[in-house]
Amino acid sequence: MVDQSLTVQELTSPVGTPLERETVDVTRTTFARRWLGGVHPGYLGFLAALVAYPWLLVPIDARYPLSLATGILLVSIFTMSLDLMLGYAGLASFGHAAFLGIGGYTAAILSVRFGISNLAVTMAVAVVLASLGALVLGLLALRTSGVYFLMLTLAFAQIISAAVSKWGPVTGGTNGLPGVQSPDLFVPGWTVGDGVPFYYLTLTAAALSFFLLFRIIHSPFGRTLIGIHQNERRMRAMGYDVRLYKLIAFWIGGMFAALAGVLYAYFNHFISPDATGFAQSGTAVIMVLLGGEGTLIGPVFGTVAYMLIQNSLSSFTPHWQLILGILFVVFVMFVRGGLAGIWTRVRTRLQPRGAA
Amino acid sequence: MSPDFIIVQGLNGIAYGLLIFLLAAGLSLIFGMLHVVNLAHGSFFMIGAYVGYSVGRALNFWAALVVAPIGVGLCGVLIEIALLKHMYRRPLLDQVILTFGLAFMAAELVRMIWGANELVLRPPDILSGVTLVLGSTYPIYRLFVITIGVAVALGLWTIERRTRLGSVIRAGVADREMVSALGVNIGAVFTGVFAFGAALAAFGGVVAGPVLSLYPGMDGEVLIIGLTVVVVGGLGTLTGAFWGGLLIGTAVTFLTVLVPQVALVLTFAVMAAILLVRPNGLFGLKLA
Amino acid sequence: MSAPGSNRVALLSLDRISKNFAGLEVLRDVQLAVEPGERRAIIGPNGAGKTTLFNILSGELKPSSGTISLEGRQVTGLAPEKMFRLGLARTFQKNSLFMGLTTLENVRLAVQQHQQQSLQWFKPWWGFDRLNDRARAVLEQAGLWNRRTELVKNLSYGEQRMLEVAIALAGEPRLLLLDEPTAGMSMAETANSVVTISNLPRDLTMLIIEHDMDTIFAIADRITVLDHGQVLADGTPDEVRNNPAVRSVYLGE
Repeated sequence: MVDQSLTVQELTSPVGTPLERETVDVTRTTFARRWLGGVHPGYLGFLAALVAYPWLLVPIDARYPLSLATGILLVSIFTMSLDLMLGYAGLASFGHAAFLGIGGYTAAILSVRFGISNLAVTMAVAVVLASLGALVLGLLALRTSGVYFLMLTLAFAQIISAAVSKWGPVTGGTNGLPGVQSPDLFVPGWTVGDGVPFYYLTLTAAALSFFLLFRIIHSPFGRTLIGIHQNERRMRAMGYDVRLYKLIAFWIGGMFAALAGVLYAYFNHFISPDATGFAQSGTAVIMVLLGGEGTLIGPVFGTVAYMLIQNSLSSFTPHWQLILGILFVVFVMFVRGGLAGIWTRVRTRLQPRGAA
Repeated sequence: MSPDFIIVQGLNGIAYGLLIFLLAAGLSLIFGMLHVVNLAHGSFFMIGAYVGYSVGRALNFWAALVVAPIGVGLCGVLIEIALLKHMYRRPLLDQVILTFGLAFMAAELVRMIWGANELVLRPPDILSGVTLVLGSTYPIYRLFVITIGVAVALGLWTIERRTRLGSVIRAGVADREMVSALGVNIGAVFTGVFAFGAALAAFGGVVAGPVLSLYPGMDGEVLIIGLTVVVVGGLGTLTGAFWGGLLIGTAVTFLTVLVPQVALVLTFAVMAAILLVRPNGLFGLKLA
Repeated sequence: MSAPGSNRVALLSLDRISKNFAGLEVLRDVQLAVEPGERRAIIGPNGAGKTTLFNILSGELKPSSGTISLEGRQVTGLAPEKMFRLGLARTFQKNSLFMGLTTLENVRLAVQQHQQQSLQWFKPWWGFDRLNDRARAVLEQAGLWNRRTELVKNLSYGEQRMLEVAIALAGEPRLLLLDEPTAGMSMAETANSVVTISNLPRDLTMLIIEHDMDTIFAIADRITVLDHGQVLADGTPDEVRNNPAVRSVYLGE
């Protein structure tokens, strides 16, 4: 489902007035478009709440809620990038966790084996490695489609997972690599400690990621991806080099996932093969679908929902996986379009009918 | 590499490959006909193994070979009718979540009922011990596995090629709308295929019990190998599942013994290589 | 063949185009010359080879023999993408649109590619004036501007056919091939389409395959009649109407 809100919103000018220089409906749409780069003001409110979050926690013991929120924001970067590929470009990749692993292991190995915990350096290396991985996987997997594509991407995730499991001396093997230091923000000495500082680091990263992905989605390139998803044959007939665009989408998705992985390693001070395999990829897909694919903010909802449920259930009962499984089944049977789908339906009910 | 080594590992590979075939056959059919990627298929295998374990201890191995597949098959019928039937028109990924959720549930149920410890199964007395094969000593039970595997394969091949049911299934894989237009009750066929696939997987699980050990994570591992086999062999073909199983089974077995570090990596690399040359698998057809 | 006494070079010229499919002769020695700005209808009974002719023109098929030239330039056997870039656009008998997107977005995708903006990744689509203005112009030409926010799957069949035309126009073609544009349309939709097509810019040359004679007589400057792969007649609507060979094929006289 394409983000419908924007396409209906976009056109209220009567015939005769230039397209984007609307005179009707000036307030929200033009303000948003000019000053906020197109993002709806509502998102700003959401962001403000997130910025204020640590202060809201002052009266209580903040460590757990703060760390939970940090974790959620971090994983959101991962799931949003997956949505670009899955929801917009239509690439159902089950190998996304491989890139998370590439990022995470880059950060961990640089920190533990080489003593480098500089955020800028680590991110640069992670991006380069992820780009390589995306190129390799893309060139291989994009020759196929459907289930075969799914399988190849899954295989990629498993290969990375198996590789880090066996390469003990460097990666710590199946037990993972503990002892990852807190990152330095560009300058040694400006260490981002646990708790509130790291929360803001993650929030900044997540907000930036959202903004960049938002711009990409609404750009001509993003529209191309959507077109490919909708009718690939027609796009080719129109002269588009479809494989190139899919490859680029893969590349972008992989880079963001690697960045999430870097933060993941710094956050947990630890990385293990569990972060890289099929299970993690599958969970990411679930979170995207849960929140609503093709909506960008949906996966964030999905991440929040999934992690909250998982956290509360697991403290509630050791058999939380059973309940989670039941919830998945019930949810997918009865709810269409995920949480964002519910949200859009509620919103269209509440909104008065706009001009066509 | 002595001849003894080759014979023993070769037979191991064939045995393992046939076990995976039992899993992959159902998986391949279910995908070919229902267009569903059943991520719970490994769970069927696992539940079969565990139920086989319990029935084997309560009664005997032979009873387990009958009870487990029937039980799991019935579960398959229920799942298909109550849940899966409504999902056929939904996008592929929705079905993935459904089966994923079922797999979660199954894994936890197994953990709850049988605990998280590794269980070891001994083969029934007549099948334990070793015998001489081409000059090498080899466990009798594994020869049994090979025999059963080949027998099932032949049986399925006969059904597929020689019976009306087989034609319906093959036609359904190629073009299901056409088949239902021809008056076949496609709904019943779907239920049957799903339940049969589940039962077959469970059967494989029981047979596999004394060869592999039982632990709650086995469903995931077996599923990955099974998916690899299905993809390599070609979706929707039993022939593909058979030869794919043998190929991957022997490859994994030899590699695990020779280069344990990179065995799994190489296996996936093999799969990737095959997909590059034959994007639809070795025996796969273009999907309708 | 230019009109006698005229110095104009034909926009499109087919010289003895033939096509065989494994022994079956689908087209034989087809001669065609279309002037710039002309509206030429290609008619003929089913199986006469009209769509094959279009496929050869657009590059999907290679002719077995004969040459094609576009604006004086040899284009025989060039691939569809190349023909597209040289200014030839076509519609198909079967619609292939982006059903889940709006009319505007459908056209925008075509314009975007033509203007080579598809790799722009940071600026949102509404910041591209040239792109949006062109999309608007094309939609207005096709009479679909007031349906721009409608999802294509909600458009009537006639509107979808016209959207195909709009998408073809987005590439600023010199020559437009319309393959049965009014097929399957109701009377009212057909009338609308005729008006829209007639109002397309006069510098756009068009080849139209059609069965509906009213449409043809309303739009066409000249008509070429194909029968069993050969040109049976070629001339103004009146000439064709009175041509005995044509009458015998169509009316059995």
